[in-house]
Amino acid sequence: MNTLLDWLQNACSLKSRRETACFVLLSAAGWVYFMHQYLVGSGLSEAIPTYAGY
Amino acid sequence: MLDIVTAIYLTLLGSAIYHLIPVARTRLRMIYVATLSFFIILAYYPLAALAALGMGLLTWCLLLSGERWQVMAKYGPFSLILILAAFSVRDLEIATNPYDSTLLQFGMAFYVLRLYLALRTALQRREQVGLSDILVIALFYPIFAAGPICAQEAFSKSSKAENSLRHNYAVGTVRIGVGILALYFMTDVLAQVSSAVSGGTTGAMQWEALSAGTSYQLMLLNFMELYANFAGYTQIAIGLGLYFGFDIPENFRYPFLATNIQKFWQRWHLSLSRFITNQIYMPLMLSLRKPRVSMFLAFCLVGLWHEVNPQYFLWGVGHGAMLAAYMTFSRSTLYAKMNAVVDARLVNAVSWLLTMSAVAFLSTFANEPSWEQSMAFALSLFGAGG
Repeated sequence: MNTLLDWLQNACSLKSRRETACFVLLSAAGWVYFMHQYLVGSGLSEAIPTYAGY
Repeated sequence: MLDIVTAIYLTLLGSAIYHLIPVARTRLRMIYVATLSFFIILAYYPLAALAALGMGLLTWCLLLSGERWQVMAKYGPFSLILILAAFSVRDLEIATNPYDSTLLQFGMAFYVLRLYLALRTALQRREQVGLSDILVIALFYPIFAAGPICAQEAFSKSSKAENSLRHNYAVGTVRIGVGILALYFMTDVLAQVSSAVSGGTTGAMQWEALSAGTSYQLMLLNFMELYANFAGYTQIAIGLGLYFGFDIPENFRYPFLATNIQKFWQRWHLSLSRFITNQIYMPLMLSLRKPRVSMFLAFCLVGLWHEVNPQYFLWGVGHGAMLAAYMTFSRSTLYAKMNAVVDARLVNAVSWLLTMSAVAFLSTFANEPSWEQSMAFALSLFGAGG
């Protein structure tokens, strides 16, 4: 587990172990939201950001 | 319409094929041929794709002529900026679908800067850059709509290409997860909070009916929404790039922690900030020898790069003036005296509040759909509404 966090910390240029753990949790939450939207929700909108360009 | 599932699914499939191709040049060719086919046939963004292809081919011609003639090496890259300016100034009435129009407009602003950067870098360093490299820079779809602004280092000379596939796929997947949460979930939550604060207004904001306090809250919420949207998009772009072993650069570094305008631009839209410094500010500085004037002029130009309208021009003027003022103030004796007398934490807190309010104000002002709306927003902050 520690090796995995070290690896991610280095790869994502994160400063601390805590920041890396937060990053992984946010990512997991993102994928759960993604699966939820597709299984029971109405999907996600187009992949063009609303504020494209700013 | 390119939805996120299609983008991720096609990237996984495409990257698997990409890694199976043994020759580097053929691998790059596969990327732009696949992207073009996908943009034109499946997603139906024909104009956006063809315009990018045309600009890529033009860049390649400019590169070849720049290698041969000194005058073309010096002035050739500016022709890309002139074409972008011509497209931005003139509203083209072309019958196409709305997504194609959006990508034609926003995509061009970004890939022209990427191509300009690639061309200047190749000519200055006398690098061997092929047509495939140029077309990938123009067309790589995760960064097509809104950056980051990067050149050949991100693709053909990527440091991430040396990492193991397992490493790049794992890190890419983590980054895409964070991006999805920010781009879809956080943006949506913030939009709902804005709607609740404004009393259920949807679509164009009725600033005239809002009190100063409500307008201020909405301004900050709009800015947070912009950050979630743009930073989320960038995370997904970096993650999808990693599936191919590309090193798409970071674009944000916690901008809400910036305690002054200079630090803000060291944390917000980093690739644009780097471009402004190296490609606009430094040349202006070398010819004018006046750092504050150069910085001011650089930001005025960047304001117009976003969109050619008075709101964005004032956005550029605002940022340029704040940076120039900060450069003067931070070197003044008054600043030194203030720091000696007042607690640093208090100075930082006040400075942070002023910086965030100013950048949120300029951002909301520039993003309003019309000049009248922008003025209504600005006046509502001074109690002209509600």
